[in-house]
Amino acid sequence: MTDQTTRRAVDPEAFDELVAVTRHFAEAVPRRLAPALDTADPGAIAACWSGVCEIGLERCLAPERWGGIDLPADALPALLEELAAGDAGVALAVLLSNAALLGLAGAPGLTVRDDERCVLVPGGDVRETAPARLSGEVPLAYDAAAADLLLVCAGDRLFAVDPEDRGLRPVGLGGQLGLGATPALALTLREVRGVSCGDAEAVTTLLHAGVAAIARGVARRAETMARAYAEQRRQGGGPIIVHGAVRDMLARMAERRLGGTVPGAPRLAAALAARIGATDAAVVTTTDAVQVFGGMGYMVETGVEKLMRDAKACQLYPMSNWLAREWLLELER
Amino acid sequence: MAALADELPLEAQAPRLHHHPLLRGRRREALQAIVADTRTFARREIRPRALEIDRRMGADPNAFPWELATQGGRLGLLNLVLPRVAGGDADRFCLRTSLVLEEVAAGCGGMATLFGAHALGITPLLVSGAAHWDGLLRDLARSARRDERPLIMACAITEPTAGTDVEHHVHVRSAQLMSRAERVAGGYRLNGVKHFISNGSVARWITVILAEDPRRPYETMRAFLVERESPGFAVTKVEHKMGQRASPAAELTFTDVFVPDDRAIGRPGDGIAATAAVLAGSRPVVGAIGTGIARGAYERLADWLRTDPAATGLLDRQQVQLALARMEELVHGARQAYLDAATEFDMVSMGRIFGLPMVQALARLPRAARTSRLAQRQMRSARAARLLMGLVEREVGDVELTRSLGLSSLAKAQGADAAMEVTGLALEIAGPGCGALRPELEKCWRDAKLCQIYEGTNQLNRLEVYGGLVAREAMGVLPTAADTQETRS
Repeated sequence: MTDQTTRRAVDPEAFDELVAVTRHFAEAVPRRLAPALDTADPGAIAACWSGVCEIGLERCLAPERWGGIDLPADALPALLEELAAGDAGVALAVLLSNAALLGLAGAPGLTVRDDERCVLVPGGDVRETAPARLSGEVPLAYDAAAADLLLVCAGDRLFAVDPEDRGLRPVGLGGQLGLGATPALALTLREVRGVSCGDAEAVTTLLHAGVAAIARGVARRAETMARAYAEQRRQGGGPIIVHGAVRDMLARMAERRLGGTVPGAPRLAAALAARIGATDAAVVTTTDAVQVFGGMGYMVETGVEKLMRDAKACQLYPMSNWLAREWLLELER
Repeated sequence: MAALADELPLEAQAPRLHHHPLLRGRRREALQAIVADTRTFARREIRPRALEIDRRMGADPNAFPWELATQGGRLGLLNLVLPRVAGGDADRFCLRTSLVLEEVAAGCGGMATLFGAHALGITPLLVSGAAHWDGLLRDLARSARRDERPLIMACAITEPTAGTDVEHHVHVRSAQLMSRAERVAGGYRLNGVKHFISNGSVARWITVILAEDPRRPYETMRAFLVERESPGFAVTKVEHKMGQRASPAAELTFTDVFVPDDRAIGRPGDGIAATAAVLAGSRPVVGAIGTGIARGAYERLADWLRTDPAATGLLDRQQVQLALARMEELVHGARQAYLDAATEFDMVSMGRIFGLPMVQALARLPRAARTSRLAQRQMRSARAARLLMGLVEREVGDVELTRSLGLSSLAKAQGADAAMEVTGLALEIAGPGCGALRPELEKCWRDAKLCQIYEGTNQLNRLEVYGGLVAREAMGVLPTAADTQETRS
């Protein structure tokens, strides 16, 4: 990440208050609407986004001239973790918006209105086939349909793209495993016009650190639910938390949460490693949370199986962890 | 790399089947034929419709796939556990059911559970004595062969306050049961709620496990056969599930449902031994369903890697080769585990009862002789029930039943874990850019999770492994030798 984004001073008290407000919002709105968000209900998505905008989370990394509060990028994961404990899809929407704004801020002369929705589109095999012309495929573009402006990753460079460009073709996916609050589609680009916004490293670092934070939030919620259920559900003459099999699962959840690495140094390799570790841990924790609930956990109404699907979707975004490990090795060589 | 979807003989999947004592001559040919037919059915009919059924039943869990159930019935998938005496042809059914449902699960895990849950509804009738081998079971056999909607069965054990513990011979003593069967003139009156019952909303007949005294389930549990049309019976909810949606899970409410004496199965207190016997035979099948779900994901991924331009070059990567090898290893290991358990059940445990000369002789009696009022009264008597338990005690024994349940539980847990690991790995290797394969693999992964939960959680199953294979302590659910002597005298 650039010096400009990491070394800005943050008032700790003001930031703590922002985290508390975010936590309160996540519990009051996205968590309450989670079942509707899971089905990509437009009303629920709009209600959450309106709350996000009211707090200013969707552009908290943007400069003040673009209506933002100019937070440093490494402050965002703490907010995303709180949001994801309410709903991971809402947290991903906030991440993609801020990551896009962070990238767009690097483009000289570019202006973003404070009511414009910007969305980062990472992944895929987009290439600059001619100067400022992009072609390729993005198999999984979350929230792209909601965007007024897209920031597309092409190799290690970023380009601002108009979603109305005639060379841009959205393709429906026919179902989504998780993260329903950020409806996904595939994008095909054919000679799409793009405005260069420079190097992608800071944005990619934020993306991976952000997905890691979302995974931690999902796992935290699953652990809280599993522990509460284990205290309350009685089997074999007492609450199931007294059984060794359940205790072991709950203990490992805590172990993963407390032992999880939070990237101290805001660099790409650390963020990548954090994403791999956090998403793998979240998949195990949420899968075990469903197991603690037993048959009840497999039913949609309990809400715990949604966490398992959200965690799995995080593990695969924006790339599989086996490919992320390959990349990590290259970065560390 | 050869296509994994090629037709493989049974022996290619499990080399031991070359030497299997149950697989000689016509038996081998019959088994080979039904497995091959089911594989074709799963590939041509089930797999192409699996996602559509999943989406449809995700939106409306009442949209049951009757057409596929009927087709499966004509193929014999609703008769898998019916012995010859009841109009079927599976005297030793566990191996056959397991191999066949692995094939179905490779197409769709939910469809395999549909046929498996139907078999689970039948099994308590089989293991509780000859009185129920005619009548309903023959109707089932006939219904499945006709073109109309088949007669589906379900087994209701779980209650809102008691789940996994009801399936364990120790934990059942402290289970918090809220439902009960009350003795009344001419039969029983059932009250309570059962939930998460697979096929519950579509079953014509439900085998309900209930205690006469909910505070003493170990001593008073038994099974009752309830018809869907019975006054007081209601399907009060059909659940929205994460996966395996083709087999709907329902909440069933019983309000003063009257069950006549001739639909009470076994004797009070036989329920624990019967449950142990049923689970010893049904858990290998769940292991096979897990194996099938794993294989389905593995085959889908391998086909995509071989044929899709988007996957070009991936097969040359050593990480991908190692992942495929790991999947093969998990599928192979899970299959060997359920083959062991199914063979143990068929040859050493409860399954061998159906091959005993005495039972075979019963099958050869004219049907009228078995269904006469006198014969039925004899077969439903307390003495007949004790004789059966004595026979099981002598021919099988508590130690063997415990070991059989241990092996079955091992197969169930291993198959379920293999399904979760293989489906997760397949999603990981394919990544977000695998197009139409992605929702198929996601469904396999969602389906897999249920295998770790139903038929007792994997944790409970491992406790059975400990009891049966590590501690080697007999469960003590069968009558003692003294009880048997008393019966003889």
